[in-house]
Amino acid sequence: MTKIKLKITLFAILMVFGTQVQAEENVLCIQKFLTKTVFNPGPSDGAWGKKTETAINQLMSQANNFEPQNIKKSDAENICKTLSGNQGSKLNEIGQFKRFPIVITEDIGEIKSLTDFDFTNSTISTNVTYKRCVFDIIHSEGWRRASGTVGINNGILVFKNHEWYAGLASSGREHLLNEEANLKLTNTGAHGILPHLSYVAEGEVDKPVQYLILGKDYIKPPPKCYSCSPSSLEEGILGSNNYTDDYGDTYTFKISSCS
Amino acid sequence: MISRRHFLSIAAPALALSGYPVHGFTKEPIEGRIIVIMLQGGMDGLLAIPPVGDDNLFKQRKALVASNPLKLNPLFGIHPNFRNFSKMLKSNEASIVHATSFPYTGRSHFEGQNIAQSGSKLPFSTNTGWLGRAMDFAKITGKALSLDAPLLIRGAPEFDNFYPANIEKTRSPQTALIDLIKETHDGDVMIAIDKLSRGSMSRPSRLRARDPLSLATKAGESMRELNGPRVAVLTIPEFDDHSSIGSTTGHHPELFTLLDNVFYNLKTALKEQWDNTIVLTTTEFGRTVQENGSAGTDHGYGSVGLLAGGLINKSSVVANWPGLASKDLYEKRDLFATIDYRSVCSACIEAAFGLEHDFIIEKVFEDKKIARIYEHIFG
Repeated sequence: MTKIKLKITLFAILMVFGTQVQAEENVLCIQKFLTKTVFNPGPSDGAWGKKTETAINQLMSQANNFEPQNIKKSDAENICKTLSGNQGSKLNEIGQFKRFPIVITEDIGEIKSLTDFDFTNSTISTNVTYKRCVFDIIHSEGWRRASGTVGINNGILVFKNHEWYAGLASSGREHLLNEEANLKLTNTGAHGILPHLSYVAEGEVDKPVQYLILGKDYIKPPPKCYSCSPSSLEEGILGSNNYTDDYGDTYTFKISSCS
Repeated sequence: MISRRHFLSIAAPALALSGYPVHGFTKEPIEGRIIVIMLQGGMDGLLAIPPVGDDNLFKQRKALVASNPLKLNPLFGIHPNFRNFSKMLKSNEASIVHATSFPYTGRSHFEGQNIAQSGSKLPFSTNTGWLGRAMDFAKITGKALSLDAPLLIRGAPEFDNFYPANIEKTRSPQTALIDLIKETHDGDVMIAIDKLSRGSMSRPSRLRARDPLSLATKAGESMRELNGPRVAVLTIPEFDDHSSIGSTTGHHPELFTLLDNVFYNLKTALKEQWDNTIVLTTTEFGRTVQENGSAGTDHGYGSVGLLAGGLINKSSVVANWPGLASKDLYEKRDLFATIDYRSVCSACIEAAFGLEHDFIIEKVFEDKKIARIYEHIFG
């Protein structure tokens, strides 16, 4: 009877020890796999520790489109089989680089434009009415940014056809760089989109809308002008109005050749 | 709509298009597009994509971190000037690869740019570019109109296929000359030239820097056509900020805005072809982790790559982050590059041209040790 008890005890010990050994082999299998990746499992000692658990969960999460994993020591056998099987090479490849998911919770906000343009509510003069004038927007270094025609109705600008210049085409020879304008015309002004900032097909309006704001230096032109030279761009039939954009670049908004 | 001939006459030095199909030599149907934006001068990857979760960032370069980076995840943020790109990240149309570089540690613009375009380990060891060779192997051929093309898209002699790009007045001779002088000098001399050039010109960089935006639109318009080119190369110069690099605002941040709008314009102009496109940046090297005595940074090693396009399915930051403690830096001064950027180039070729990774690294890059990173970017 005593011998039988002894045998049972020995058998039980062997069973437990054997399972333990098997478990450690599975953990070791995982650790050895991970050491060939960028997911550090700590020392390859067969012991299931925090580092091993974190590393294998990170790898499997990355392999499963960042789905959270909850792999425990009890899963070691299955995981080892997976790593040793057909998926092993794929997982090894995935394990060569870490991927950090993007989780943007802050408001990105509206895109701030390089230059703001807004003619809204700008009034040249309450006494001025012209059917058709030429307007130009010229950078202080001479680059023409836009040109077109504008009507003035009791001092309120009403934009007609116009075009913006992309790039630094300033001489007027490179007409291919001239873009169709994409100004949104309203009764009170124009909301413009510079094509060199944001391409919008003809007839479409897209965000971010950019505005041109006549700056503090805006000078109201004389109320009337009956003897204006058609080509007197420098003089500006209704005055030349300088404004400065956010970057300190100065532009001149000129209106001439009114009829 | 602009014609191809017209386009060829106006495309700027900062743009080259290639890969117009020639019937009988090109696979049908045409699918993937690759657009490379070469950021010349060495972009500061830590300013663009600051590892805000790494405490050593603030110890090493407190003054060179934007005050309000947009947080991407616990480790990384993005400079606030990348708003369009951030929106692409949010909508799973963009990804970032950090602590990366072409295999070059020499800190020379000439050598670095050559390697970034050739894809070789040794500078000036080949007269073809990795993208040109990939086009050849993918049988994306076209006519050779000129030899004036960036090395990047030069292929094997029998397959030379590129379009010239030239336009007047898009880059002032003064700044081009100064850039050339800067590239041939180092240390204090270069910093002095940098300062002098800034002082002598009235913000020429930003005025000129707007040009790539127009070019991006032109490239996108051309590439969205069914028989349009499948490859475009844009160049944005002036990243070599040895002085006054900026943080929240300043010169580098202005270039970030420019780059951000280039991404936006490409997407807008490409329209539905955006879904078949991958845009990637390259730069010859990163910049030093610590700022120098002129509020700038000097030539370094590891930097960052920005990728966007409809071929991306899931946004992420891919990085084997090496850390920013002094002991973790390359030669105790540079961000360590733990990812060979040629892996990224290979993945883009695989995604857009359909070549297999093993073939690409053996034939295009002639280096079988380049790891596959396709799943991390496009998976």
